[in-house]
Amino acid sequence: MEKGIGYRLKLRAILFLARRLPPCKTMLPLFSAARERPLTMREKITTKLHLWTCEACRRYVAQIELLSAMVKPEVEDEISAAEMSAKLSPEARDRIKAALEAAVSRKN
Amino acid sequence: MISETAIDEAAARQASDPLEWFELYGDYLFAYAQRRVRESSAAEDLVQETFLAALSATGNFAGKSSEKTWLTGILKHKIYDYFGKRSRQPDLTREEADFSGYNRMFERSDEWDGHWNATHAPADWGENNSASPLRDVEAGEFQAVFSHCLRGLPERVADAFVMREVDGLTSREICGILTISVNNYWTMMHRARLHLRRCIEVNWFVAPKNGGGQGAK
Repeated sequence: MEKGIGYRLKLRAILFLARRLPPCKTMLPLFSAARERPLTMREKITTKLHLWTCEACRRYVAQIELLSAMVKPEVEDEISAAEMSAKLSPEARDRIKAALEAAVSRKN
Repeated sequence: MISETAIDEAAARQASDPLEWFELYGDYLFAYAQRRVRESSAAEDLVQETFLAALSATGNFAGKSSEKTWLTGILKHKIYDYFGKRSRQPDLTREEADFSGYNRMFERSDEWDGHWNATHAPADWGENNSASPLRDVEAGEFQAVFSHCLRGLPERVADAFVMREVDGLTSREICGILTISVNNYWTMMHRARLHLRRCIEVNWFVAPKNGGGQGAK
């Protein structure tokens, strides 16, 4: 299908902006900073414009957001602990038990 | 040895003996610590310290919170202390060196040098797709990839990321624990995100993980 005039104009605007805005490499620290502190007005505008022109960076922003959500612990109950499959090794278990027993008998 | 009756659930609820606590919550606390400090021996030591601290502070446990919450609280402090100690001897060579690899992601031979190149541009994770594999992440499986990817970061940077994103500490708290400036902290968070996003993409989304014989690759 023939792309319309609106599409071609948008493309030209994107190219025009992309040539003048800081490159992705410079923008990335700002995308992270946006999650840490309020951006200045200038930073906000540059971010908005860059993201408008750049699909890769839009993905980047969405994915670091997702990353943040994915690493959050669910309510850390027994179930999630079991899922983690991290268990004390028998050696560590014995060692800690011995240390505890020693401490208990010292206390009593 | 603990008395054989200790396994009784009802009795367990009333447990006030650190040895019984250990039976009940030892593995849980270990998993909790392991997830954060990422090193089994350190996690074991922290669990042991937690129970010893709990033992000498039994009087402070007023039963307001569950024993588990109380113990987890003690462990949490131990973990942050440990991060603080570890931060005092940071591996600076690694912290400097690691950042140089960053430039490769934006090297291009065309007029768009400084922008993502084809090999490193973020791939489509299907994050806007409701049928995306992200929606039913297998917690354990993702956790393994995440831990693996954290190991690729300088220790202190990974610690900062864990405190920020796993535990939700504020930047002020994290800078206090690690004794770093806030600018340093922002840089760390940026490189952690850059590295982790990429590493997770390579190991989780791109690597075949759908079983069916492909998983062996």
